[in-house]
Amino acid sequence: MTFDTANGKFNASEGFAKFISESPTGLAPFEEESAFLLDEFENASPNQLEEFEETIETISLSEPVGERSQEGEEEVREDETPDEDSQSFEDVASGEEETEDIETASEESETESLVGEEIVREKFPEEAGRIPQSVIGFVCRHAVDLSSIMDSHGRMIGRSWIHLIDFPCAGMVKPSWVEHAINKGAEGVFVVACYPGTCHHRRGACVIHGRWNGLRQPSLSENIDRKRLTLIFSNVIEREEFIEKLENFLQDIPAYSMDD
Amino acid sequence: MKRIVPDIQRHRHSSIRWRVRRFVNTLEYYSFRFFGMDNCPFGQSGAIVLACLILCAFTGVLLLFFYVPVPDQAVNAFSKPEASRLGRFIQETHRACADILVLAILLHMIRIWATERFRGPRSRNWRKGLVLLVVVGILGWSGYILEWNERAMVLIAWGQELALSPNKWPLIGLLRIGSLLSFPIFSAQNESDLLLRIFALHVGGALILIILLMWHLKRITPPRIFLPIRAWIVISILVIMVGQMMPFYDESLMAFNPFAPPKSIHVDIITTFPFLFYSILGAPLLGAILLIAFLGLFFLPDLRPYKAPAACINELLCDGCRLCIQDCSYNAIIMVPANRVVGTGKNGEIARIIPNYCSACGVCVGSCEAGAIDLPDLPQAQILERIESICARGSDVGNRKDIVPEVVNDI
Repeated sequence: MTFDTANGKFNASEGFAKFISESPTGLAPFEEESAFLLDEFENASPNQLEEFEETIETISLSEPVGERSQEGEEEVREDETPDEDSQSFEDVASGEEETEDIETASEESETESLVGEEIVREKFPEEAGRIPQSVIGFVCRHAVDLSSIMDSHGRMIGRSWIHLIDFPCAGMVKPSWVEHAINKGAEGVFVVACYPGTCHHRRGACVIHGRWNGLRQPSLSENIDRKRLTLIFSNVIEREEFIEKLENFLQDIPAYSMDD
Repeated sequence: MKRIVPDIQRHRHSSIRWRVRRFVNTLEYYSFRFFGMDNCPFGQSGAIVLACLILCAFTGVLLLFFYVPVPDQAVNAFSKPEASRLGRFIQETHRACADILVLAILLHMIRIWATERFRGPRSRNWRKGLVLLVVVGILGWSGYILEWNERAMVLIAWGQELALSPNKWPLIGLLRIGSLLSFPIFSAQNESDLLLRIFALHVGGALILIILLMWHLKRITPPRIFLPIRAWIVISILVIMVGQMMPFYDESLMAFNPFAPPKSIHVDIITTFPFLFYSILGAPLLGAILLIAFLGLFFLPDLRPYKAPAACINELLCDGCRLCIQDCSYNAIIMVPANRVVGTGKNGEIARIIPNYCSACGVCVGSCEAGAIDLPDLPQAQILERIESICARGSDVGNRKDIVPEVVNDI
């Protein structure tokens, strides 16, 4: 598979080896998708897995990351579906007729590229050409059912770029931690609290609400980019609504440019 | 560093207990959506109990102007035709308020249990609440006796048998605990003496109840003890309506006569229903069941102990800003003179945590700008380290080897 950053499209049948050899890890553009697929692996039905294997080449993680032998590359090429218009590795690497190849490849494997594009657009917020970095969530253990959304590594299931840090109460979250996360490069930060009045520890939700809106000290600084922050009130039974609120927040996060 | 995860996160969703909790949680959630934060009865279940208690006390004081604890005048004091209508109105309101109080207490208990608010450091308040429930039960029993009719006779007989039931338990019966329990009330020499003791138990018990309630609320800061005005009006109207629509007085009941005890008694849902089991199980067994139930609820938090170490304060860093005290919900932080704390060399005041009161919620950690407060099982350094490691991974888009090995290990 290739990931064309200019057009934001996946080409499922071309240039796979190029990225394998050029990227340090060999899997950089596909890490998020790989992580997603692996996260979803246990939940995927056999039919889903078969469909995935038919439409998209399976990434083999058993091979050393970033170190592909010549034999491995040949095996990959041999596994690829023969295509009259597909370019050889050398042609693609040299950049000759690259655009034409992509257009041709798009026409020839339109179905495959659309499948890849759907995955990109579904999993990568906003522009398809932007790879999400890290989003940090400070989550109250009583506001959401963590066992259903968080894996063993503290990341959100199905959205591995979202890292969750759980607390006994949202009132424990310091505004300085939020600012620290943004300053250190987190793309977005959200805090999940119980609805005010239903706080497990009585007033924690009201406290974090006050700190968030400058009604209580310590509070968030005025200079912080509020578009990258949000405070979500949730309930243990409100899983779908919580996901929806989170998705709305992720879509509204201003995009970092690739130069940042 | 090992972190303590509350039991709520380990539950399997298919368990019955989880389903009951989810049901209560759902009710709470939608009631908050409907009533709003300030008016929702779920969020103020404790305040509703207190409101009913205050109304009970108020109507009880008014009843003192109409009730005389003398057998001849106490008999059907408010149900006989010549009784004051105002007195009857107040008495029915008092009785309805007491019944709603018991219901409110049970709902409050169910909510506390279902939302896991009885675990860990809050188990103390749970146990205090159980003691309060027993006292309320005794007050209710004694209150119905004060009308001094046939129903009162039955209640006295049942109460005496229940109090004496420990004497009939194997082994424990040798201690004669039942005799000790029944002596204060049932050692009366005559009707007047007995009525006076019951009256003293009812009025004095109410005062003890208020003291115990202050003990119960001591660990909650600031306690939302007063409902909004609208809630007060609703509860008052509800109490009056229940009292008038469901009067408990029964003109057919004869006066208290120890020489002619009633052969049968109407079992109603409020006053005599709990004693229905008495006739089925008998006093010794019923007493044992009640005791086991009480002990079971009393030690319920210990079945799956949730021990969260209390927050700790670095007194050298504390600057005495008092923000932690403002945010603490459990009255667990006090200010002490700094010059009395060895080694600080400070003036003014610094904060100090009362470990027995602390529920380890961490809200004080979030309020401390000086970074003087920490939770031992979730220190700030660990949180900051986690934030930085997450951000360090995310900033390196093209080289995320640290993530991939973890993903591989997940397979």
